[in-house]
Amino acid sequence: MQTSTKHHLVAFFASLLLITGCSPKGEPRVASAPGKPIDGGTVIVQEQQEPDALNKAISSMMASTNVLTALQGGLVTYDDKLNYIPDLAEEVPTLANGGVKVSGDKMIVTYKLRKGLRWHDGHPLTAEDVAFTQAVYMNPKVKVISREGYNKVSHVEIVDPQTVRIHFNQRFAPYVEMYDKLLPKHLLANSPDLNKDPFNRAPVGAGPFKFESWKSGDSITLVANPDYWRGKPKIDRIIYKFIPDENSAFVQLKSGGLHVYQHAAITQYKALKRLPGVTIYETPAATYEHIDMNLEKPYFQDKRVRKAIAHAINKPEISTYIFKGLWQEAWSDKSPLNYHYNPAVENLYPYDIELAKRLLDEAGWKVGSDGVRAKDGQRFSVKISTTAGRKPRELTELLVQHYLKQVGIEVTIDNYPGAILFGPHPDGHLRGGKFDMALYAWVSPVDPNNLNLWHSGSIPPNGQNSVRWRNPEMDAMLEAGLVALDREERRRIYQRAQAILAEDVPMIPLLWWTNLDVASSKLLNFKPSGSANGNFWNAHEWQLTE
Amino acid sequence: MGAYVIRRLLGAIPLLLVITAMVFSLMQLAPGGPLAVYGENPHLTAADLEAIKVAMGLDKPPAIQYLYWLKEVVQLNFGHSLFTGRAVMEMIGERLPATLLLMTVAMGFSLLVGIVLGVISAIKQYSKFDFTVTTLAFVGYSLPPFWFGIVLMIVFASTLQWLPAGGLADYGQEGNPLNVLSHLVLPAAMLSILQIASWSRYTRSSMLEVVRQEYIRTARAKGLDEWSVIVKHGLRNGLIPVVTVVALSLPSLFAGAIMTETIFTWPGVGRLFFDALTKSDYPVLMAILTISASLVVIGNLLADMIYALLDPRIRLS
Repeated sequence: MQTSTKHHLVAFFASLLLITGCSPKGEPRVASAPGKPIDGGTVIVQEQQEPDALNKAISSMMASTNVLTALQGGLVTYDDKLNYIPDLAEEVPTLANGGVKVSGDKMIVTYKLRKGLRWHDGHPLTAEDVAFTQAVYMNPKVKVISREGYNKVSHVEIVDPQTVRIHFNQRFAPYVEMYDKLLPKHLLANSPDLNKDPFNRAPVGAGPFKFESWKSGDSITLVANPDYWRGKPKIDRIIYKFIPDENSAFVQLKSGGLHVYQHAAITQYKALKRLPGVTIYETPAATYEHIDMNLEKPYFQDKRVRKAIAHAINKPEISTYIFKGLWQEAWSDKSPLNYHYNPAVENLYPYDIELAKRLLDEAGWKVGSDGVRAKDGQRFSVKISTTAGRKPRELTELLVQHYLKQVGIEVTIDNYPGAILFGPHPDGHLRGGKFDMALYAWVSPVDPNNLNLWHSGSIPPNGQNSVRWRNPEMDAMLEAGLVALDREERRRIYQRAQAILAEDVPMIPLLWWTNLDVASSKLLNFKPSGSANGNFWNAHEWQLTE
Repeated sequence: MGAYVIRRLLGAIPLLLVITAMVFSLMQLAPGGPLAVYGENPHLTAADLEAIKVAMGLDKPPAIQYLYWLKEVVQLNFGHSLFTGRAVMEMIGERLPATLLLMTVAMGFSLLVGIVLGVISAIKQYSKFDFTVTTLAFVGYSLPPFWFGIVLMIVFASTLQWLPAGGLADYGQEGNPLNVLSHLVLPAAMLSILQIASWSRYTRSSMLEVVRQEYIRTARAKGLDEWSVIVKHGLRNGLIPVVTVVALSLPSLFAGAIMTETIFTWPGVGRLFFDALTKSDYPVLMAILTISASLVVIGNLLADMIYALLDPRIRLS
């Protein structure tokens, strides 16, 4: 199996090389030689959805993130290789550089702001704004999406206008993810209701681009900020055009009305490759499709059954049939892009029908006269659920149904719209524990903490542990990982956690997404990121050519 | 007439109350709800979710939520969106011009073409013209609109590059009528083809009935020219059933066309509604549905009034 995967990859690379004449995976295929770089110009970007509010505290939408990444500015951000880089802060505080100090259970993180920072309206950006952002996140009246971390801060100490100390009442390793989008105190301190403030529609930030206009249902336009701390961006303007339909996006790209088409449909891959003047960026994403098994259902309580199912699914074939071979096999809940990824869990469950059958036999599920296994009079007949209407997932389900039939498990398809599948406890299909098996995707965050996903204390309604997994060793690892501040120690902890997950198989990782971003070959320095910070993290470096 | 209109409008109030209460309950019964959009966030905790629920006012019983909503409506205000936090009337107000432009142009064009084709088909029944129009009407009626819109886009925007593929206008060209017009052609054509097909059929069958009436024969016998016979005597009566159908399309002038607006990225009310529907943004949904329901009532009333104008035998009292 391992060799066949390798062959598969080799063939894939070879075909890429043939097409492009160079460039390894992840590098763009340049269709034509770029012209001379110019200063200025407008870049038009397709955005599938329209943001609800341009305020990351209250918006959970990727579309909002994409705009705010180019506009807002925060203390620390990360690049396309998932390295933390200082943004408005002078450096990323760590134990090693003295930015993080620990005494007993408590922790103090000190941020030094860059000198001379200004908001887009010219008002100085100071430590007061960091303290204000903290206050907004903990304001109970604001419908903040996640208070994680902010709820562990006892107080914020303003040392001087450039220096701020965050006092945590416990050790909190993912501190660096906080304050990634600062809010201006001078504009919002007197707001009667931040959920409804006009700021959310015309925000003022400190990033490379300033807000210009928002035409409902049509577009958001940002213009270059001449006072940006890194210097004025090379392009003058970014227009985010809301284009919900994939076919429209394709035609608009083809007719020259778009510079960037984000996350193109995999079904358009061939047609996109034939388009002249564009570059296709195939970016390994930190998002993985997986199959959850509800551990409270009698079928899945025996680990051998879960392992058998893992062995029965042919992941490379799913990638070939449905994702043009572009999506890579997943073995862990952590992305191979992450420093804490554990390569030892790879290939633990190769496609092996015979082994799967043997494991099911051992677990006491014997094949009945109808070809379906049964135990204690109960047939192994389960349902699989996914988001109705998402074609690639529906096709994947059909393959899973076929694979499991081979080993004597009957699978019926039971799909729901996203609103029901992901609905809150107790009515939601996942949260409410109404599913047998479920197919959907999680994003592997840059910070490895995922206590909310796998800890036994996070079983709904408390968190997102919808598989209802209880493993004391995993709980201990997740708790330790949350407070371990040393990078190497964290790597060890989360590598162990990945091994526990692989051994217990409460969910089967299937495939890592590959994002297809298509950009005009006239756009230079477009470096899509496969993680949650999206494609705009380096918009200040974008440049157009003649 | 005035008293009649006022009576009809007053009579609509209890009807609208029942409709809104029903729509509100149906929305509450639908599984998922506004909090489901947060479900894909791996960091979401129960405490955060509960806080959002309270901030959105969803912790109160549905009946109380409905009364709150009603209180706002009485003040001619439809509350604030759960997600954008903006006044719903403002959100609809921004989208309305684009929708009205698209829908009136498409409707006006379809009416004109549909009625003319229908009348000629009826007069020249079983002629080559009639067969051609009939065939085309059935083809037009059976075309899947989604597919047809994409075909239009591929042919005229992608291959021939005569027309833009989507949007209301190019950047900085919003004030240029020619630029807006070029953007309007494809979505209006997509909408018109279906309506022309259906309205030409209605007009044809209604006219066929009329031209066989005795008063038409009388008109001809009086020696009137064919134009007067068809237009003054025939069409005036033939249009009555068509008026009903057209008047019931009135709400679509406001509510827009979800599919057309999606394919051609037209910034109208239809897409606002669809976005709100996918997120269960109750206040936005309720506003659009209530206004649409009111327009159905008004459309019916208008149809009755136009009957009276077209046919003097009908008296409204």
